[in-house]
Amino acid sequence: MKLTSQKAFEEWQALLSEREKGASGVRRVRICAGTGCLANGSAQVKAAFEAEAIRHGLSIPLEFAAESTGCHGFCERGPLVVLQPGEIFYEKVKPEDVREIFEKTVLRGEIVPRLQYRDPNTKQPARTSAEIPFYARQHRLVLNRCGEVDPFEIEAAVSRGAYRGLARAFSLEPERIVSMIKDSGLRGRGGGGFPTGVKWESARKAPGRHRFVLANGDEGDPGAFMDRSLMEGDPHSVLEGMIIGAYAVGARKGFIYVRAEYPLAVKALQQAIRQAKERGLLGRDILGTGFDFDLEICRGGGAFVCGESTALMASIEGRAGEPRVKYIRSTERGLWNCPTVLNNVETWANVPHIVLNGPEWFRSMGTEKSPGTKIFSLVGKVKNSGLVEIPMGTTLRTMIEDIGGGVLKNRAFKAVQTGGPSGGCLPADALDLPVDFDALTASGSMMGSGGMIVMDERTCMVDVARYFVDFLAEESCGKCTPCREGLKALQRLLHKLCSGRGEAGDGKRLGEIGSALADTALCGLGQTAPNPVLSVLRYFPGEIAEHEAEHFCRAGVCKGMYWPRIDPAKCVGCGACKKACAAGAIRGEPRAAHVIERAHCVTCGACLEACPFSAITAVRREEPE
Amino acid sequence: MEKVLLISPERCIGCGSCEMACSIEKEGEFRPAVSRISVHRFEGGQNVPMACLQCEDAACMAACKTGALSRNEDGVVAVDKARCIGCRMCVMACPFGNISYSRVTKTAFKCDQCGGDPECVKWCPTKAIEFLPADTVNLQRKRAFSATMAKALEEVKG
Amino acid sequence: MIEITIDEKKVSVETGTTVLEAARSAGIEIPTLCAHEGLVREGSCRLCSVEVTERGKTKLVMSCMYPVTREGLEVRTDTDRVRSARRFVLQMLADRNPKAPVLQALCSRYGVVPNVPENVEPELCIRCGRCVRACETNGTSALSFAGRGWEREVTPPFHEAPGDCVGCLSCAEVCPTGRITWEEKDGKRSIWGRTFDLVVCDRCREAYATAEQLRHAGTDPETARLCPRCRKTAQQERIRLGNRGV
Repeated sequence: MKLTSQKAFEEWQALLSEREKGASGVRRVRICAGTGCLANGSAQVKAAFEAEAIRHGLSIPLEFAAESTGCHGFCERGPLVVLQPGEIFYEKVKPEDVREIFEKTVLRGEIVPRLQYRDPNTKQPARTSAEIPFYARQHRLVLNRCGEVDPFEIEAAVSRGAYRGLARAFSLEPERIVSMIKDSGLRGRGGGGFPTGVKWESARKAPGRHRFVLANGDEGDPGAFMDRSLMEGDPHSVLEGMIIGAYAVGARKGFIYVRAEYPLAVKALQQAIRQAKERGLLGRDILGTGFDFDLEICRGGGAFVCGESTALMASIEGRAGEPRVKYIRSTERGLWNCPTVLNNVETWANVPHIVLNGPEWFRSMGTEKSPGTKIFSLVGKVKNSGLVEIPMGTTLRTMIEDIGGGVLKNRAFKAVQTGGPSGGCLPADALDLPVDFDALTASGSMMGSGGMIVMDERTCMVDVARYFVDFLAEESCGKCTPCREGLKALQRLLHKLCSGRGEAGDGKRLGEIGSALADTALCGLGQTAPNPVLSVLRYFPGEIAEHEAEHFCRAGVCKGMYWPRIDPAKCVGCGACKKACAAGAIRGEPRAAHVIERAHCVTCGACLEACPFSAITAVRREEPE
Repeated sequence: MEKVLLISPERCIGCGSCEMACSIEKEGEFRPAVSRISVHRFEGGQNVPMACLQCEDAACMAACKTGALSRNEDGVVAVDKARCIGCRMCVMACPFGNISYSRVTKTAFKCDQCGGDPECVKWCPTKAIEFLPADTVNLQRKRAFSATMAKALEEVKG
Repeated sequence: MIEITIDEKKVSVETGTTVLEAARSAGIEIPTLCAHEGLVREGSCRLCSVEVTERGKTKLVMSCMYPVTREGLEVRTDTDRVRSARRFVLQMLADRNPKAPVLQALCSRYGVVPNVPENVEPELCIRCGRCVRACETNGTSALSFAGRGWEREVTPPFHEAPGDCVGCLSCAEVCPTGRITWEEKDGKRSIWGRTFDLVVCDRCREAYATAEQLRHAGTDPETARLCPRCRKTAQQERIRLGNRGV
């Protein structure tokens, strides 16, 4: 059924909400079908629930419904299921757990304690997700439907408010929408932090017969899955934002650029586009307003640099995904030299909320210069890995200690890397920094698209810099000299430092090349590429100096640059290290302190990793056994 | 008024002064091979000097993709050396062999009428090469010359 | 016309003129490598950097692409930041291409000493892309960049002899380092692993061009039978005949 007026949409929306409310007593289970949970077998869990319902003679979906949803966020604990009524939260659910859940919780309303989340410190179980600190400290605005609705059903999204912003937008003049976005202070969530409204205004004013709106879903940072989860979990929020944006700037065609590695996101978006078209929310004469807008998905080939705006546009145009020099903004000359608005998918998903609730409401969240919320993927050596949405201005400490639950194995925190490979590593001193665009940039890191990697004392910062520079050198397109040759030069120096061949002056040289590279590279990738190196030089100069002058790696990561040593006072003789040692270099009787024989040790670091008592440390090579 | 280079082969004595004057002006050396004008000396004392005709519908210009060849305000097809990429398409296209390519300078070169004061004209002792306003009389002379030439060409092809 | 200052000099230029052209018009020299007047600019070598101050903000930009659009733009072509940026770019290029004469000259001017890293084979290609753009401009596109990052290289498709090449040699002619070589002997011309049989002049029997080149230039088949020199002689003969006719 195609909706041909705003009124028809409102009636349909009211009907769906009503139906949703009426069904609130129905026994239901929401099963996370985000990529992480799917990989852990959530599809089988869903099938098991349905089989149980049939076995108990419940009719689907009138008496029982099992729904796949997008990412719930708490990926560390997946597969996650939430049961209605009662919002009962279970973690790490396997198909074999389903019979018990069904018989106890679904049929009798009883809890299965062994599947509940327990606070690691107090051991208190949590009945609903709201009781879990991971969720309690978040503010899920953009992700409000993600994990709550089936991303493949437009009706589910609309019953929970999708396209209401669009319907409202059509009752406003396009200029008014642009000024609302401007007044809201919304800034680009892809990392640049450029004011979205200014971008829109510039594109709206730029002369040109055709205009385009684009969504950047080429998220390529290692360990990042914010955009992916959003596209997979609530594709309609992205679509709605783009349709509003197109109406505001006068575009009739848009593209969503998604990396090919995200097949589920592509599938969800394709389905969303099809369903939105069927309902008259996309395509010709949207909601009978006479406004036409068409959306197309463009799959990227997986090059990291295609996340850069000009490279992304080149790729859509069918040319090699390489950036071009842009002294003329793409809002004036972008895709096919037409005025173009390119926003990150998360930025687009913010738009409907602003149109619906007004700029003042949006400004009430976050900080003055960075209003609103931001989604992060919190990963690394942190207890609660997952998808997190917080108000801007939340401190890194809150993110890591409260939401993230602290460092894995209770080891000491060493650094947090924000902003993906082009971000920087911040030390413990920086933990009270508020997370917003300006504070992070001033600290030598950046917001980036929202990757956040926590590192513990077992992380070698020189090795981390090496890892990111390796990644970027691999992903550099090689078009400009500084990035092509400069990253290789940085890579050589870092490999030298990490393999015990460091020489006096290497650290200084890293700094020189790094800052020159940042100053001269053609595109954002090259300009920010030295950030990991420069931030390590700034915050961890001691480790660089040790690698350079002493050929010593205090974290026990760089091979041949330390000896592991067991502190006899701390060793309880548990044998974990002995078991982990592949070289058979560890001797010791149970319950007695163990010893490492250096003659056999290959410095693989497995013992350091295995010791549960932190009794093994990395010492300089010249220190006695 | 636009001026044209008018050639009267019957006045040419084949002295080669034009070639010398051209090459020293353009290349700084007396070397007819790099002169933009050249004289063919036929047996029987007939000599024909020849330089670019600045064709109205210039094949060289049409073949040039970089804009290195363009017509200037004097009606001359001029080479912008900086824009030449050495593809030689102009040389291939000219039906009269009046544009050449230098491997030394890596650019095409041709007669540019010395910016309005052709050296060849100055040094021609017999007025076989003249630089005259493109008025009706001179244009008629030039056209009549072309007509007989075309006729002769038909005969040759015949 | 817009008035700007370059190194304290007042310069008037048309809107949209690049800073490089504006500087040249004022007699201020800025080194370039990837720029060629006949080709689209790409700004990829990063050598022509200058500092510009506009609306109170100073930044490093590439003069070959930066357009003059605002009155009062201030350009500085010889600050410490500019010099160290150029030195860095030259160092990076020279470390890989120590023998390229064009780089050697620039290095000695900027006080850069090439330092080839261990296990790096000295090359002559600075990846400026002039050859690729020349080929594209010609409408042949027989060359392109392949690979990325440090592995980026200029090559015909699949490293095979390029089917679209017409043997015009402009790639070699625009190459600033002499990396692209070609050979011509015994009536054959070879470049990029492809060998062309040259067309022989009907009159002097000299092998003068490739058939592909003539086709690409749209040369009239009758004209193409003669080499340019013989075309001229033929024309002179016609003049002589015509003249005798008069």
